[in-house]
Amino acid sequence: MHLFIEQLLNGLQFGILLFLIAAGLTLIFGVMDFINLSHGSIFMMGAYFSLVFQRLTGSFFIAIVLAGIAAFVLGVLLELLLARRLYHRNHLDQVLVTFGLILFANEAVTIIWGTQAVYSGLPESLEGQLELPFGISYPTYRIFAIGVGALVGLLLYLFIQRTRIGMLVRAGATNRETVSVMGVNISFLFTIVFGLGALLAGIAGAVAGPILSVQPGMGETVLILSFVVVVIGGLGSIRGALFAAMIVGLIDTLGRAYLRDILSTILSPAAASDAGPALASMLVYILMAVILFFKPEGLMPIQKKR
Amino acid sequence: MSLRSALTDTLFLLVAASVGPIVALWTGDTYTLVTFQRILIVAVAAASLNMILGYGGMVNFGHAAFLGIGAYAVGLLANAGITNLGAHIVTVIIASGLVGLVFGAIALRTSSIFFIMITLALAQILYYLAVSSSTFGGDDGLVIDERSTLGGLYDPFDPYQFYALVAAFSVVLILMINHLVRSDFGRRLVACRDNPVRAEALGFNVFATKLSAFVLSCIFCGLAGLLLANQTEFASPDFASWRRSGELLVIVILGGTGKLYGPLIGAFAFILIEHTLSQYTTHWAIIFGPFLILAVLFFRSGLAGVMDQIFNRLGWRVQ
Repeated sequence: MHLFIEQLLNGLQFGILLFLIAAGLTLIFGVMDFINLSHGSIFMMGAYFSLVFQRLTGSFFIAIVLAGIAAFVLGVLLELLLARRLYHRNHLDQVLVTFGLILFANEAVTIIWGTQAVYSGLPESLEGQLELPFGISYPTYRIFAIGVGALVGLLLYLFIQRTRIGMLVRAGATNRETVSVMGVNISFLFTIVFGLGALLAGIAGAVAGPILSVQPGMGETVLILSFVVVVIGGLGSIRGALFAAMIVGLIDTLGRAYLRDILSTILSPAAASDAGPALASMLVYILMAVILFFKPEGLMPIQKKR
Repeated sequence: MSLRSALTDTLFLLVAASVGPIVALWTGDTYTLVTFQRILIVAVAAASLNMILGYGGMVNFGHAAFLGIGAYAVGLLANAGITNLGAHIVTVIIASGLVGLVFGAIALRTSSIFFIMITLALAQILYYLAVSSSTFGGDDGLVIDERSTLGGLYDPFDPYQFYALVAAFSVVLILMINHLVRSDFGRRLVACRDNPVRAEALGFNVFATKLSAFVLSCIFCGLAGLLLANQTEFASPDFASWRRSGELLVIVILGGTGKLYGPLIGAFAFILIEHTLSQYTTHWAIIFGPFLILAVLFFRSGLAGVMDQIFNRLGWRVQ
């Protein structure tokens, strides 16, 4: 039972991480109709930025904030220099350009930091286990990661729901043309949304760094899973992304933990230990295929007016 | 397809396929043949993608999965002692056709971004199957002991004879793809892409047309995988990775989407660029990435488009 709760927490932590990345992706999809493969590279850069700032400032917490800001700047630059030339192009061109960015980013990171995984020490306050109620002990850092994710998610919610720019973002996701007809500087809004998405991905990378290994290409698995989240949730829908991220995080984590045991009740142990991990890593994608088969628009699509 | 265009096609492809052996004989370096084999194999895979991307408007972001299916089918059969080329071909056609049918039936319920994403996700399923299952050799892939044989008619390990087989096979496949694209079926496909509502009103079954094209394209790519496994004597999960799928898209675009010779030219250019750059630096992607970005931004019609313009200026009519 304790183990199960631990796995649930792991799933929650992974889900929150996915949500931070998927929220940015879905915003960029929803508002600009732009498919950004390089979002995973920004996640990766967030992790590396955080390492660099940690060495410079000596503080893990300041490094996370600075990494987020650096990712924001990177996102804004990306939007100004590249992405805005592609809004009127088809999705294929967007895929190819951002694919080129991934190649570039991975190689640049390899040249600067090498292919080996880089580890950063945790501050003492985040090391070790935390005693939770019911006698469960759980790594402090993962609790911290859940906390940061929840905090950023809450701030995002307040930003989107309670500020003027957030209102424009919501309006932009529903009907871009009308927003620009109402006299809103739409290109400024696009830049902000892109930067905001990058900020979320950067913070996610900085927080995930000590959990995953920081190395070139680390963003890609996470990117593809975030796409799954975005598509399951419904393009452009942040609520859908939150919901789908939790499902994907939990299913992926629990599948990896328990599928082998479940399968061994029906299959021979050898077959189960072969099929278990294979099925576990495919589970999320199968889920996505099934959901899209029945609901091609995702679970919570936003009402798009054209 | 008119006889004349069939003849031009064949002639062009035969000339393209004979560049490899001529260079190899000239320099006496049989390794050149390996490079040119790769170009032809990649060209088949890219041509199969071009068929649905350039003419059907379907952005399949998981096309490389079928390279993987072809390669693993050959690997599993060969390591089980079945090396007959005919048996390999039949198995690959059935396997990639069936998987293509399932994938297509699911993916074609969606369109635009959803189509891109779902083809990616479906391909990832196969990728993870290959990576995590010990039957398929897991992460390390599958070493293939035997190349496909033709009942003692030829020696698969003689570089020239093997090149001849790969070249003949690739030329036939590309001719078949070109024929399909030029046929009534190809025109229907274009109609379904350009105006599905009108195509439906004209009595075409849009879904069935797209699905047939998708399945055929998967089969052609599976056969390219068969050749790839023969060439590398290896089946690796990497063949089916999403990076490979991305590369195939890049090759089609680089060559010119919806141009008959685009994939061949794109494959030639891509492998040449990769080859040349990697002689100078292992970090060739740092140059190729920005190159790709610039190519997409400023160079819309691809290399085949540029060649068309040159030919037109010279007064030749192509296609």
